[in-house]
Amino acid sequence: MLVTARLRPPDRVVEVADVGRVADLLARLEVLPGAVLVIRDGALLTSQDELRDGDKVEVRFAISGGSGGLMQPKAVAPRWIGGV
Amino acid sequence: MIEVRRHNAAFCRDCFFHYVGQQVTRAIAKYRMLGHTDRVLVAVSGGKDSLALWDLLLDLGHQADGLYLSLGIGAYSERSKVVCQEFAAARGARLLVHDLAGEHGYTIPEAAGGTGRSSCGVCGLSKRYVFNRAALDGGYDVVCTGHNLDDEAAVLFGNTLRWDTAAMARQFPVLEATRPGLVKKVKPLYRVAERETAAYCVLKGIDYVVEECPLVAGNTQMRHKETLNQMEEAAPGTKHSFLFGYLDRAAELLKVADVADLTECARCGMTTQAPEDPAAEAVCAFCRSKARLTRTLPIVQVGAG
Repeated sequence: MLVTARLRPPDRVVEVADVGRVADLLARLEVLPGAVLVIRDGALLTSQDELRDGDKVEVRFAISGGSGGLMQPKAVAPRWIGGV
Repeated sequence: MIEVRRHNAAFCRDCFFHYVGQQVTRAIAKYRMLGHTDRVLVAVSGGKDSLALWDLLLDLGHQADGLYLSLGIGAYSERSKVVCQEFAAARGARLLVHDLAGEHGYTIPEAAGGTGRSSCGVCGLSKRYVFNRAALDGGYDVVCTGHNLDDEAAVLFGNTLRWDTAAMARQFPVLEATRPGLVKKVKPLYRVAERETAAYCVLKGIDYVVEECPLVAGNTQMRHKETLNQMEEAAPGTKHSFLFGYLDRAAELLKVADVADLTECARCGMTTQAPEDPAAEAVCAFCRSKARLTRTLPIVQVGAG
């Protein structure tokens, strides 16, 4: 089970394996849920919404000027695959 | 569905629009920010807060024009201007565009290196000056800015850490026009968190500039926001309580500390603080900053070949 997350700003893309819900994804990314919007197909997701294999979501930081608590990617996962 | 943890609530799309509109209506009513006959100028940057505010004020029936100030921050400023122009066109609203370099001879990246102020400091100073002047020149009754709950809580946090009581006394959702030369300034979004303004734009289909200003990295206010967000995560409602507690119980007490003696700037005629020495020339911070820049910036010969 693999989810592709586009994080911005700044713009970068990461693949995360084995995350059942949005809350799990944000925890793996070390992002504060209160600092972001999670968007799938133009709809906002809540932290309890389920994710599906192959989902592409946007994790948009809603806090001007801040990383919202995002630190460096973890050593093993998620897998960072690009930045713009 | 959008969660608003500080209210322990979740809203569907329509109820969320109602909630945000209600927060803005309450803010306007509580502090008598706007009347329906007022000519309103909304300072827009292309970001989520100012565009959400403009959209809300138009929906509430206010005569609200937008004002965009180009700061000369390369592609970021160009994109911001286009976003504001497209929003105005889509809403059939009037947008005034001012240009810092064209009207005052400098850009923010140039100013950051030449005034001794941080880029955010000189940007804020320039915006306050241009907004006030544009509102006066255009005959507007009030200037609205998109400061939200998170902005206000972070500024209050910084001011409190320094016990800067003079700055705290001026931090209020309304700054009245206390003398000729000053236009009333209001912050109708002070009850709305910035995650909520972002959600409002996404749900309304408002295209806003998601990218950050490239000059903002390391900004103190942003570090304060991150600290408050950590606290908010552990205890939802912390920012709300901090800001609203201050406004309800402390702000009035501090207002007496703000007894600045005001006069006219000898160079531009705008309102400024009177110098302590009565014999000294009163020159506003904007004119002082501009004069320092004029001395610092290289002279470019136009048309030299």
